[in-house]
Amino acid sequence: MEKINQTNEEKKALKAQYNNKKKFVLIIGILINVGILAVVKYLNFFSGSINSVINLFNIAKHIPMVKIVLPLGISYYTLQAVGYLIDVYRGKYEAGGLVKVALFLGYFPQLLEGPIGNYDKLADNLFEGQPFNFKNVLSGSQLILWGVLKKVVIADRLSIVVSAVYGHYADYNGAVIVFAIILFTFQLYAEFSGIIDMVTGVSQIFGINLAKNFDSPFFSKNVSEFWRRWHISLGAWFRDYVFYSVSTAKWFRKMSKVIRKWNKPLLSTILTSAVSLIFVWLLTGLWHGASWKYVVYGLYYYVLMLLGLLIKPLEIKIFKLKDKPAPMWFNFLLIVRTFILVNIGMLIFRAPTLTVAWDIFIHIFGGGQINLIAAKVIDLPDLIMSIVSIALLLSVDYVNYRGISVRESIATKHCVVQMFFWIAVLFIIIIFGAYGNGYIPPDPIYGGF
Amino acid sequence: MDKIIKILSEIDPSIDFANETHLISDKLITSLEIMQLVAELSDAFDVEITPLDILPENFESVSAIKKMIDRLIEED
Repeated sequence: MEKINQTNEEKKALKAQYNNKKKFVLIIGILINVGILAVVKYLNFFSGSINSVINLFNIAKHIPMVKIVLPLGISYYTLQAVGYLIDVYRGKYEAGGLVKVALFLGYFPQLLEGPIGNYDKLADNLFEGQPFNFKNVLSGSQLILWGVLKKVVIADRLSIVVSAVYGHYADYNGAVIVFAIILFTFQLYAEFSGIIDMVTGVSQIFGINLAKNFDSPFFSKNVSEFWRRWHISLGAWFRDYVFYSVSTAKWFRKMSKVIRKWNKPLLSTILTSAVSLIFVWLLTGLWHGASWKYVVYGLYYYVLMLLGLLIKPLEIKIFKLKDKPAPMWFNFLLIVRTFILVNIGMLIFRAPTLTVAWDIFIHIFGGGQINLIAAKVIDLPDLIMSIVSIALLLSVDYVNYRGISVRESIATKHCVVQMFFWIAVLFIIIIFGAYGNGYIPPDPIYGGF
Repeated sequence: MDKIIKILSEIDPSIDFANETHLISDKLITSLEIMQLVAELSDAFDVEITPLDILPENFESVSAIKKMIDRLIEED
């Protein structure tokens, strides 16, 4: 009996030793990947922040700023690489060969803006090679066309008004500012989701299926849901590798157990969520850019989510929602509330600095011109175009939200109808698209990350 | 089963957990609520739920959760 116990202890010790080695290799792998990203993307941000502190003490010495060219797509493939390492460490799948992993990390279409892929879902699909399939080519091409329309016709046109107002916000007040903030939200959505559609379409032509990155985000009833529908692959990455790692860590479980013993369910939910979510939102903010503005952008959603947890029991009590679904009017109000909150987030995101974001926010309450055309922000055709664009985006999203795929519905129509529809899309791009001699298209916003 | 339903109802009283079978695919519970659930279940059943167990299919319904708990108890 004693001998068996000894063997078991030995086995346990061996397992612990093996696990420690595994953890060590994982940490080294993460440090190398994140280290490269930290140097090329965040070095100047950290140096600048330290210099600001040094300035406070009137010390003459400063850390010099370094000019580093940010490698294309580094924020995306670094997350893919770290995700792969953690999955292998967790035993989700076995480590792949060098070529297969390199192919997964270097798959060009998704390098610029994602979606952030998972090795187990993408690598085989990429590595095996797919036979030519006309249906894939047709469907992929349609998705590319829809993506180009969103980018060139909707986003790039909206960007002209957005840049004009954000660039000279001091000249505008009230409705004009609100209009520009909302327009930017749709500009970013049309641009980012348009590029993702093109990436997904190109992949589909080659028989490669990429994960969905947007799912009717403006029909979300709270900000948590918004982040499950907006840039889905980023939210999923932080959930799988940061949130779950923190929430299942030994120290967290111990802390959570102590807190739950107080027998105050709401307080324990808020406290444990506050600890696990701070890592997620600080990192989400910083991932978007190396500046304090993005840190605040992340923390803004962090605070909103904690407030959401605090308010939820009250909502259930006040609107008598116990054991029954919320009525439609209530859901509509939640969607409007979420849309307003998301737009405030977008203001922080778009404004060049936090001070400017605050100034613009204050200008909302400055009264002034309500007539956008009289304020010379936009002419009538562009105003109509903007409204039609937003209505189109929301209509397509609403149909998708109801579980009906617009593209699949079109595909069921007679082939002549289908052909006319897609030719019409092509003509809309040619006629209304923002391009031509002397026109400099705006850089993709998410491409800068 | 009742123990699991009780834990779930404390997390969100507005959902009919006994009859819902698409808690994740219908987006009825969030990842934050799943982690609350994981903590409560770990305590109540004395099991260790790791990130590998946090799969949508393990949390779709009360019976799926029970199946996962039974498996974890067995593995222990």
